Amino acid sequence: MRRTLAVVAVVVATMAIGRLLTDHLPDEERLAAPFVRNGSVGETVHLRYGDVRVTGVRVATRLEGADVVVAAGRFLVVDLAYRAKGEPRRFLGLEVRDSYGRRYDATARGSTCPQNLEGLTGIRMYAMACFDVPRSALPGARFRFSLGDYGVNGSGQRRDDLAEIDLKISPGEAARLWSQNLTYRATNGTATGPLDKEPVTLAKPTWWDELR
Amino acid sequence: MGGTRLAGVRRALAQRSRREKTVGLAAVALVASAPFGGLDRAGETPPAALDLGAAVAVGPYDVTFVRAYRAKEFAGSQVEPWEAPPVTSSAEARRLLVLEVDVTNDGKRPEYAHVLTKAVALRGAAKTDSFGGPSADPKLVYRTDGSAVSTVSPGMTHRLALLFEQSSRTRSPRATIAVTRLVYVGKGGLASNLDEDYWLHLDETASRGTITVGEPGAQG
Repeated sequence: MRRTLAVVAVVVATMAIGRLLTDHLPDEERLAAPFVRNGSVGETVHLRYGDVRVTGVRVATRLEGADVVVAAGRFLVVDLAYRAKGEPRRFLGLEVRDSYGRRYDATARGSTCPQNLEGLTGIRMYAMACFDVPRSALPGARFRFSLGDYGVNGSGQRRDDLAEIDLKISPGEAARLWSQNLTYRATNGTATGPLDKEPVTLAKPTWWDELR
Repeated sequence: MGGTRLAGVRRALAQRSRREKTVGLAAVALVASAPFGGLDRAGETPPAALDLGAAVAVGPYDVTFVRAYRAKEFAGSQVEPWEAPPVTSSAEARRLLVLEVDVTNDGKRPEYAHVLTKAVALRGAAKTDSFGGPSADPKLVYRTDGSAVSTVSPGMTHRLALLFEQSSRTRSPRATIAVTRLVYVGKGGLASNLDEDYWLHLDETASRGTITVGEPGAQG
């Protein structure tokens, strides 16, 4: 009888411990969350697989790549310098998050801006990432850079480093940037030197009217 | 003879429990309702009416059909037309039916273009070769510059154009459009696969309507 009671007590205690662990250990979502390294414009953020620095922020109505594309809202252009560590890498995660929790992926319309970036080991490289965003997304926008892409529910970024960089756009600055009507030349790739950040003027070639 | 049979049935019923009698009665009632539609398949919700200017929910999108017209080609970039060639049909004997739409993504994330292109169908659309084999799904491009749409950013309205192909002999001033019903498949997915967090196209029409096909230059 005493033995039976002891067995029952052990079973009940084991179940109680199981429940306690289930209730108090972090859930799968928290365990799988990425390690977010915060930064700001001009600061270098160091990650397990490289480093990244946002060198500037621009806003454009149009981008001129292989073709000219027009934003549904505005193109938020993030200029960045980055470097791969340890081995050549392809950085798949280029995103913007706004203060409403909305996520924007890098645009690839008209072969303009890259959707991912190639990194050569130890070499500082430069690129631009472009996002079609509404006006409400500009104040407080943050740029995210990671080795993996977002995938399904952040599956590509689980348990890995991720840089989140405050683009330092105040509401006043957002209004000023939005009111500009600028076209920038897009670079659909990477460079070993800083990119040209001057706006361009779209010019009609002389043969166009003759052809028509 | 008849009275003996009835007495037999009475005896058999008397030997049954109350539960068995209830189930039996329900079965008899169900069979009896058959001539009045009791055994028919539950009816689907009839498609809602669709027309130009009215917003329709298509999965994650709110879509307003702005105008439709037929053209030999869809002008590429209106900003820099010398750089962007127009979109043409895949065969000489075909024309494009251009369906301009305002698409709003009110969600928190970008959504794929194919969620929309797989959901909107044009009656009489010709099939074209695509990645998954011949398909009557339209192309989706930006209205202003003709660039292909792969994802649609949240938080704003995009003026896009759905490009269907039709035989050049189709000259009707009307076109019938149907929109498929979609459901969101969340965490855990479906029993049939492990995919989750996506929009599933059902084999069911959510809305349907016949719209006027105008002239290319007319603004809707």
